[in-house]
Amino acid sequence: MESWQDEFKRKTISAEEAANLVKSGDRVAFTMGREAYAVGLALAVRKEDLRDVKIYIHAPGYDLGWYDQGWKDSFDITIGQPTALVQEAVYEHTVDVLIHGLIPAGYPGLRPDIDPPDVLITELSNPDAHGFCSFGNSLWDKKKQIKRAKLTIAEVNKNLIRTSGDNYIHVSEIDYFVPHNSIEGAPGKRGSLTGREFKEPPAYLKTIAEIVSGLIKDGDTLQIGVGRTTEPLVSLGMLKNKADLGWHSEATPPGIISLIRSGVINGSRKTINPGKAVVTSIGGSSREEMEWVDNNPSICLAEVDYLEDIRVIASHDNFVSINSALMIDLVGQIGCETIGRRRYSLSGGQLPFACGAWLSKGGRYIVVLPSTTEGKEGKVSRIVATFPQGTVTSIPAVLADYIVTEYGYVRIAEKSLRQRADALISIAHPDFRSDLRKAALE
Amino acid sequence: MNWREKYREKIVSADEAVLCVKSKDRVIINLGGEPRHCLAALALRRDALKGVRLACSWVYDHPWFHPGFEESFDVRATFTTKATRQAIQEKLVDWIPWLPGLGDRDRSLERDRGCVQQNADVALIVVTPPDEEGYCSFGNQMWNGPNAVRSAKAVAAEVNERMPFTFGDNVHVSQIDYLVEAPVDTTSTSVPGTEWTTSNVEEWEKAQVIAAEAADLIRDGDTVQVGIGVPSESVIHYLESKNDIGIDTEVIYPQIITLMKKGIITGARKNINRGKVIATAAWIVHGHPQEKETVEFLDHNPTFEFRDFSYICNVPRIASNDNMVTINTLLGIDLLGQATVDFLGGFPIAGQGGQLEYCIGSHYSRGGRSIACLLSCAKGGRVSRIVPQFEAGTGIGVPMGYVDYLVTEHGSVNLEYKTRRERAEAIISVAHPDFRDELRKAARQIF
Repeated sequence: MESWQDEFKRKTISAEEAANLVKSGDRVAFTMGREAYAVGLALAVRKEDLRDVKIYIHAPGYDLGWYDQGWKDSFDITIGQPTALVQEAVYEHTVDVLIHGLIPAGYPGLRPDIDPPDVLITELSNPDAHGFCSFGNSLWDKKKQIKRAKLTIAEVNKNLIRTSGDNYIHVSEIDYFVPHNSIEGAPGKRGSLTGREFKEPPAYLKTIAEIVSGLIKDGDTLQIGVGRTTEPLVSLGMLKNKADLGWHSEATPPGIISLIRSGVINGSRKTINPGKAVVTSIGGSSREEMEWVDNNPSICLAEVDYLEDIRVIASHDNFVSINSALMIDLVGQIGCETIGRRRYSLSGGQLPFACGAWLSKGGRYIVVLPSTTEGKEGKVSRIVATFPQGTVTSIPAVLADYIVTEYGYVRIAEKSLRQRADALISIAHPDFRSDLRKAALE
Repeated sequence: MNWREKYREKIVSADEAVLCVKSKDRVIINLGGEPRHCLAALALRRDALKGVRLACSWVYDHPWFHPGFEESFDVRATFTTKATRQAIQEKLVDWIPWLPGLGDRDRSLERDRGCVQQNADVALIVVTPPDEEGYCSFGNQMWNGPNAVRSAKAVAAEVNERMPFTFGDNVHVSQIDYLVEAPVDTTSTSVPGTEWTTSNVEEWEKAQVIAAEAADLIRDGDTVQVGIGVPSESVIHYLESKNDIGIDTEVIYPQIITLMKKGIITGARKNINRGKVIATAAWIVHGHPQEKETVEFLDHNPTFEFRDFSYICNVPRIASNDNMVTINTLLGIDLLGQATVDFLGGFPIAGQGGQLEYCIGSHYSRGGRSIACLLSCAKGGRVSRIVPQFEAGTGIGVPMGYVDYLVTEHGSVNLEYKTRRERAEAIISVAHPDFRDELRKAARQIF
């Protein structure tokens, strides 16, 4: 029998050779999380010889050129999450956006009736002594994607960490390996393993952090969404002076790893997976924190279909889901994806976490949003009478419960239309309250 | 003291029963078949009461839908019906967006919710006469009855002899404080059908085309939920050639009973509640040719298990059946696949029922699917129900991504994992041909 070492050697090819495996008309998918850079670049270089290659990249992080005009005949690109890099391309119709329900049920095709990609490109660590490679700090649905793809190419990044959980795959399940010695850059830069770069948060977030802090109790299990409003809340002291918190979330905003290290988040009162911090990706951490996570059994990477299963979420008592929104209307419909026709984000796991929190004994679903945003013509309210046409409703009004702005928090679950409007107006920016009141009367 | 003595002691008139309602009380009322005698007696207490909060879905007309009662009664509606539409528009009744299945209030007592289910002072319910052991059934209109009993401090029940005795959740005489033996009322077990069941023949015929098309998407062994609305209700009729269909739904329609008798609905392949038919209510329509047969078939029939609405709509429970198929009727859909089921132009048209919960539940069910039925046009063909974008103020009942199949009288399309452009194309392909060019033009601009 061939040893895994020999198999690994036999399957190792160069990035150019890997890119040459793609044929015109193929469907190519990059796995969620950071896209494989070396293979991606080698593929983009083949612009002139390839025609009509359909590419799926969930959340584009690197500019490989193909999001510009003029590439479409060679590479027809679909994305899942409109990152800053591609927002313009989405608006200009250069790339298309995939729409799916809950990720667990089947981000592009865990369902058997949907064609698997011809080529799947992912990123893995070097194999360990048993021939298992790690997915590093980001697992998502990669394992299931690999199982169903016709061909899998893995870029090997020796810097990837190892964690406990389901974060491994054996050399025998991968078709080709491409060695890639990534450059370890600063956060947000190419090759960085420590996630995105974070800017200094605005002052009003400190107020929001204090208000949300009052809604969190010792022993709660937390989920905090990815986004500019929610992510900085932890480092702004939202969890200061809390104890025995649990963590069950897609990712780790800055500050979370430190709280796990210091024992504030210890999972001791979790009713499922006690003692473990369960995530599907780790980001926003310093290099030192990443080294602490490496091989640490208290941090468990779970596949996203488990992580976001409403049944799993609801099995936690006191599950608190904290997410951001772009807009909310006076009925309580929540928009997290678009303002009018411009697409900013993806609601991600917000809906399953919201449902799970509703079902959890003692659970709370909290939505935070700054009361205003800077529009073209000055300040505009994020609390609106009705959404501008074309706005996507990410969360139906029936699910909305705790809504927080820098002016306070309100609860609107099971409140009538009039009570909801009154409550939401009371936390809108004072400049907009009288206009909103007028609109509500109609 | 045995239950029979207790029962006798608790019998009062409707006027006496509603004396337990005090000013500022929160009163929960049984949805579906309202305790009409008690409610009529309560309305007479207008001058004695201030600020009593009443929450119900309101099927029948009541005095407080008209001016002059605002000081005494603060009226809330969880659905909009023919009875309340006008009153909601005139702001005499306030509408509550309510999600029955996700707020399992038995497990969340510490929450201060309250308008609909919790912290109630008085529950007004309708029950059958007790059985030998003193248990009353909620008949064919259970809905929120069991939770109302659990959460209220005082319970007044109207006893209706004409309702069938059903199994599942029930209430013991000892849990009830006041019993009102209502005069025999021939219509009070019946439910006025959804308004457009009686709408024009042409729409009904189109609904049959949709139903037949949707039935093709259902396989032997599927467990099915059927939402209110002519197209979705009609689907049952077209399941005659299937086998081992299971029912897990909100409402039992007469067609379901027909298929049970024919051995097509067996529930034999369900993962949970195998062999049982699960629901929270059954339509018994007064004057319907099947009225008597329906009542007799429901009465003491152990195949049926009627459960509280919140249990029916519990997402993890719904997901427990493999091949869970939800069939619902939409009011409109946009080119992204956002669906409106209850809310148009800033005004609530109906209520959400369990549609969202069933759509989400089917997403987690192995082999599950959600099917949305839609008449492509409204207003006699003048308006397309498929629109590029909804006008401001439209309420989205089902977010995009949770409608797997869209069926109109022009065909069915699968929307799963399609991109925005692919979705728009697919949705336009089942729009009314007269509107397709217009929609295509709009789609090119948007996507």
